[in-house]
Amino acid sequence: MLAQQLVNGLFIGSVYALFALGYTLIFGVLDILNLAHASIFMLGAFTTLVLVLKGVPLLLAILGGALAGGLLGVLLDRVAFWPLRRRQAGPLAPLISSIAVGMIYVGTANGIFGPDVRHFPFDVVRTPTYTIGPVTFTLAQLTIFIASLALMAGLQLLLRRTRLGAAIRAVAENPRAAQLVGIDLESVYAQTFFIASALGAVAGILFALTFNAVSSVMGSAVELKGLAVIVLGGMGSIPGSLLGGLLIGLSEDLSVAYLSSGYRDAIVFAILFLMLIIRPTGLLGKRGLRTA
Amino acid sequence: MIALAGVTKDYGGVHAVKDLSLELPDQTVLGLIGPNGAGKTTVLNLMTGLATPTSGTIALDERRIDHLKPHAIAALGIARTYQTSRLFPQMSALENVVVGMHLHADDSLLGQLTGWPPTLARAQRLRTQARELLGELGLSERADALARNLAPGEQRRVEIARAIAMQPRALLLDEPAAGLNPVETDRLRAEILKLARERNISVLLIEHDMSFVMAACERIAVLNFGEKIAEGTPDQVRADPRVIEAYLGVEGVA
Amino acid sequence: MHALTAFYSAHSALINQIGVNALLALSIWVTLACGQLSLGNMGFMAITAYASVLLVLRAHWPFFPAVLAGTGLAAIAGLLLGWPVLRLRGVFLAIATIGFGEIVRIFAVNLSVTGGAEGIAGIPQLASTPIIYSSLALAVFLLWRLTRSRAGRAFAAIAQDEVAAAGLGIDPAAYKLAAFAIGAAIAGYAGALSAFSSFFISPTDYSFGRVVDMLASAVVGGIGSVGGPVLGSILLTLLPETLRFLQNYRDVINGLILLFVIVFLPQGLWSLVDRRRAS
Ligand SMILES: Nc1ncnc2c1ncn2[C@@H]1O[C@H](COP(=O)(O)OP(=O)(O)OP(=O)(O)O)[C@@H](O)[C@H]1O
Ligand SMILES: [Mg+2]
Repeated sequence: MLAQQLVNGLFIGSVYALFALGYTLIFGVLDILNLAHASIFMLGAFTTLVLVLKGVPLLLAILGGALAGGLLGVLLDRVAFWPLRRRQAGPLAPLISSIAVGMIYVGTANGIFGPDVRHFPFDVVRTPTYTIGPVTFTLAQLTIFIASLALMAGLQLLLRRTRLGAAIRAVAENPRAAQLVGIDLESVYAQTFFIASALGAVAGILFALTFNAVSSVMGSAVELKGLAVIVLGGMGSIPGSLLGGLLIGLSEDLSVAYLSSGYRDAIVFAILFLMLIIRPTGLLGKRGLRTA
Repeated sequence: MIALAGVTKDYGGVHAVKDLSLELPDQTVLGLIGPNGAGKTTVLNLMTGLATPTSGTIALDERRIDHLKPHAIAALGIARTYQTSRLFPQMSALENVVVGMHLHADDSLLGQLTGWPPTLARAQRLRTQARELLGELGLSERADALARNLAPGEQRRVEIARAIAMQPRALLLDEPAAGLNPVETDRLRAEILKLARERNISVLLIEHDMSFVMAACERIAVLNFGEKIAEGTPDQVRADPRVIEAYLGVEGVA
Repeated sequence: MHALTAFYSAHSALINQIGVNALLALSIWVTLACGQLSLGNMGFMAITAYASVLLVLRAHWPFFPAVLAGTGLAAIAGLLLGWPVLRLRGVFLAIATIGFGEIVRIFAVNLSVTGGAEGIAGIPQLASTPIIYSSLALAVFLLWRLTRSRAGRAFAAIAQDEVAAAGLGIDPAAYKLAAFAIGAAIAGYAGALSAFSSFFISPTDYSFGRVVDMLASAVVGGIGSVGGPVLGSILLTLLPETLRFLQNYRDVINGLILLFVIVFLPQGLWSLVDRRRAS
């Protein structure tokens, strides 16, 4: 029982972590809390669903969803954040404009697909089930877990080993200094939004595949939990969002097993609240991205 | 009198201020000079509670103030301005000064909430006083302009008016003449000295403009790398070899 | 006259809703006026709504004492929440308060006294339109007077530069706590009015979306003065009604308006009414 809960927690936690990665990346680079992230999570899943229904192979459809998510992220930056950057607005304005774009994205999905829950064709999501000792899991779950970890490792590599990564870290550290050494801030912001949003979309796709459900409101299942993840791990920290995601996933499944399923999310938010009071920089320090 | 005794402030490995003893007696104008990064602003931050000393004590008369919160220190009568002006940007110059009267404002909350006429009259009186104060600093015309739309020189004077509005015992000024032209600087000096004399306020003046400091201050203390290397009358300080050495190649001592 | 009564009876629910939403937008405005982005107001709504409804239905209290007791409870909750989060700023404060609101909602879902996820039905319609609008008028008047007072000046100073405010002898912690308590009380009171003007309440009434609506109304109207949140609430409550024909696309229009205002009218719509501050 315990082992099974642990495994379930890790599976779902890895998706949370992947989702939170986008939040944290954008916060780390631009100091913005991007509340439209959950809508991109949802639109990524819808894009993949539409592609699958059109007969596109699943892997390609996932890529398509990620691409769409990335582009929607760049669009988001252009319409919601870029104008505010130019007039150096305070922290409230970008929060609101991201809510606005989130409403537009969710409203669009709602308009096109309606409020109902959609499903992938059964043969697409049917996978073999494995049992190892006391633990049962599906191939899909395992794939999702590995894919999430791989994407996070990939992001970490990108940040550490590539020119773009160095530029992103420099901008996160000090935008003005970065600009002085010839880094094009706007291009770094656009690419950051592309990466963060593509990851968010993939998280949405994996989430939808896990539960075989896509709906215009699916983002609300993770948008606040994602906050708990990044606060727990440390705002702006990549390893932090992995750790935070796994811990939140585990705490959920363990509280269902040992406490009461009803209070599952209360535990998550209690963790979030206490973390902010006791250690606002999270488990892995405050400037994780800067030292990624 | 404000007295610092053996005050040290470390930031990580940096000794921003080192074993500093300094006295600001009532009704005096004391200059605090030193090269960039000498620790002058840190001294002001320590005196106003924005920073707490790593060791040493700060006292106002006999009372320790080094662990009080900034608002409590302000309430004891220590006012300041900032190196980069910190006016409330969305308020008018006048409103900035009225906020400066916070500690003495006598318009009661209940009176304001109910619109009780005597309270409104009191509030009106605060505004009149604020307007007069701005007038003394030559800002009558600009009283209703938003602070963020004021010229830098005007912003500095409004900040001083706001500090004076606190009716402080001591006024700590962090480079009030920075960015002003010589004419404005002379005028500002005259205004500061006049206000301080009329109201019995002691002044601690940080300034890079040497002619300003030399002309305005009775005594001058010199900081270098957080340590006080000299203190005395302007003539004594000007002649002090350690001061000349500290400033050599930085800027001439006028 | 007859036409007016007919209009009222056809739209009374909407009219009440506008009044309640205006109070809610003001509740979030109070904390913003003191520089605090507090997003837990749906939690305070829930606290007062459930408390006062239970006092009326179970303990048979009269309406006003029940609502006032519930409002007091929200104010206390506001102080209890405000205290530990004093040192949090910006989005960190926003996140912590969202967490509080969610915790309240989850308790409402799980406790039996609140009727769980189904909520409580059969609430008497005690919050009439005159009660709602006289409450709103009183709140607007008092808040407007507050902005003119010493405390209101301190709020604005803290919002614009907390360090400079403290340097003038203003105690930021005390005023922030006061703002928290006032905001919580108004949100709670509005939550009770809302409960007593609908037949039932359930935890979904107090989800994150609710506080997003409050914030949107306040910002669209403009947070520079008391009139802004009221104006914003009127607009954003009426809008969905007039856009019914768009059906599922309604949120797109809401989002576009919000985006337009934040990008092109940073001071909100009120700045069009009150040009004095617009520059
Ligand atoms: N909050 C802080 N954190 C870390 N280091 C600080 C802080 N404040 C000051 N310092 C350091 O302390 C030293 C003294 O700084 P301070 O600002 O007091 O100098 P200053 O004499 O006012 O210089 P200037 O003439 O440039 O204004 C500097 O090395 C500075 O980098
Ligand atoms: Mg300085």
